[in-house]
Amino acid sequence: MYTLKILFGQPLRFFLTVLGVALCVTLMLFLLSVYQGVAEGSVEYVRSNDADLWVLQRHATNILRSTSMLTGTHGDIMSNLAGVSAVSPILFVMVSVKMKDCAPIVYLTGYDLESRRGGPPAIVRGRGVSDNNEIVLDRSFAAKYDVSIGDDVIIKDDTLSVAGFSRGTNMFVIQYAFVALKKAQEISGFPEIVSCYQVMKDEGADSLDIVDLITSNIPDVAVYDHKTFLENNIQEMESGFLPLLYVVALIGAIVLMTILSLILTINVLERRRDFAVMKALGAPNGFIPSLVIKQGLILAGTGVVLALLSFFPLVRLVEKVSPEVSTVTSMSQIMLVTAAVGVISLASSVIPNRKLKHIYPLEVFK
Amino acid sequence: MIQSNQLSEVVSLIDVTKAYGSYGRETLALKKVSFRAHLGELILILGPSGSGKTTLLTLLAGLQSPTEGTVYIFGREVKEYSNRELQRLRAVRIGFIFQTFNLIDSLTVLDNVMLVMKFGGLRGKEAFIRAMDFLDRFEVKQLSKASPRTLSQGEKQRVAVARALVNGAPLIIADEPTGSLATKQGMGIVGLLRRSVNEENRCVIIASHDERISDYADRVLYLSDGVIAAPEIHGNS
Repeated sequence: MYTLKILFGQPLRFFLTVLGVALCVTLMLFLLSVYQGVAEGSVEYVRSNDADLWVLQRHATNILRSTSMLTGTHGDIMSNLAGVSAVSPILFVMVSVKMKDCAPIVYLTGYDLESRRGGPPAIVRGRGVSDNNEIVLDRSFAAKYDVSIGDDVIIKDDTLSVAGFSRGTNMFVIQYAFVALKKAQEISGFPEIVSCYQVMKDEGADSLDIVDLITSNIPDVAVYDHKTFLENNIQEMESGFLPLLYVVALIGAIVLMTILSLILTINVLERRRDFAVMKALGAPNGFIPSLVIKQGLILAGTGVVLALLSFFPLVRLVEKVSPEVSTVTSMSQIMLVTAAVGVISLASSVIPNRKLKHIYPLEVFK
Repeated sequence: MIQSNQLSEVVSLIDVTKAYGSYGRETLALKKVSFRAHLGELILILGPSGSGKTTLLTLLAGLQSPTEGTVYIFGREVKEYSNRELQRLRAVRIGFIFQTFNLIDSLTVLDNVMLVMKFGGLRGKEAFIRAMDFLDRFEVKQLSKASPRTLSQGEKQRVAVARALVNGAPLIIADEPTGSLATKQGMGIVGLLRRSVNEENRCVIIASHDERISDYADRVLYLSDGVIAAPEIHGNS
């Protein structure tokens, strides 16, 4: 009762505080959603290509930020090893795509059209690459540069027809694009070179035996099972992106705590006499601190509701304006942010509650 | 053997001295003050500003401890009460009326009265009915939904009296209750307090510099420079 009257006694202050809380919550939710979007876009390719083993050049641990160059001979050797049922080469090359007034870079991925291993995780429009003159682009890349299915795009001296758009291929700073392996090798200028091999084992074959066979026959390679390779890529993605995310999220949390602490402290100081009267009239120990805590929770709760109401339209707007920003929002993220805001609101009541301790009932007799 | 006046004793001070300030720079607000108050009494503590009246009231309410001497509240030495017990005492057994009313402006008149009932442990419909009954008794029921800031001084003081009495506290402490009121209104308030003594057997202790209140008092204590000059008996009960 009194809590609400304190808050609604200053409607403009209440509105501005809730707005501030909502902005901070939106910022935190947005960062988490961007992170999730980038995480999926960065590792979905590896996750969905469930090869038994990934073979890269020695010391290369992932496909995001390490260089690996293998030859066709390596593939031939592995194909003939006991327990190996199939070997699929993949080539990753960073190339620029010539557009009308710009030349954005894509992470061009050449894959074997026969086995179709190493291709896009999911096609959302159109179809996959069917010949040497086609390309599949990431959907956010296509949206950003206004490319339609059937359009031609130029990479170096090659003109490729856009066959489809893929999903789970947006790494935020760069997007995947898929072509036939031969085309990727032509574009790279090294017809025999590949970046890595996906190895499928025979049913019942032991992966460790195959790893031993590969490393003993080809000393300069690193072999990873699918789980380890996925973890390597996730770790690489997080090490590059997470620190920035944490810093911005932390700033958001600090701003939120500052806003709430400030407002709650002002409310305490403005009502110093009221609280002194309550103390003189025998308010139980926890009554007045609970008023402060309730204020914090109401402000935070209202802010979260406002943030949730505005978040999804806002995200749609951002994705429309900047298609390369792809977000993934889940209920667990919302729960996490809501819990964090709850904790922050409780922590914000510490300073005002310390102020309360210095309000004495004797003050009402002055 | 317990005497009947011991049973009705509400508060007593024995050789109470209260000093403020640090050692060597002390100011004595009260010097060796002794008196007892019983149920069914209206006691007026009369004295000029700075004579120690308010200090005396805060000691009687257990809001501070004496520097020397002993204060008994409801038969128990004040230092034996825990903070929690003193809070409970102030919520249930002591009612306060302040010179500046000290109503909470952000609450309605009804909420102000119900707040102290909440402190006393009474909530819900029962609290509402009792609060409205007291507002009706003091002729401010029609203002129950109003904010105190919209009330006249006299109306505010009536609400303050209702708030002080609503929990059925046997001890009512009033600090300059007529100080902000015109003569007629002021005496009206004192009349209400007199009635609560006569009809409900409460003990009312009023600190004031207004000598007109002495007509309503059973006893008048003259406080001057922290010392009670002489007790005086009136026959108004």
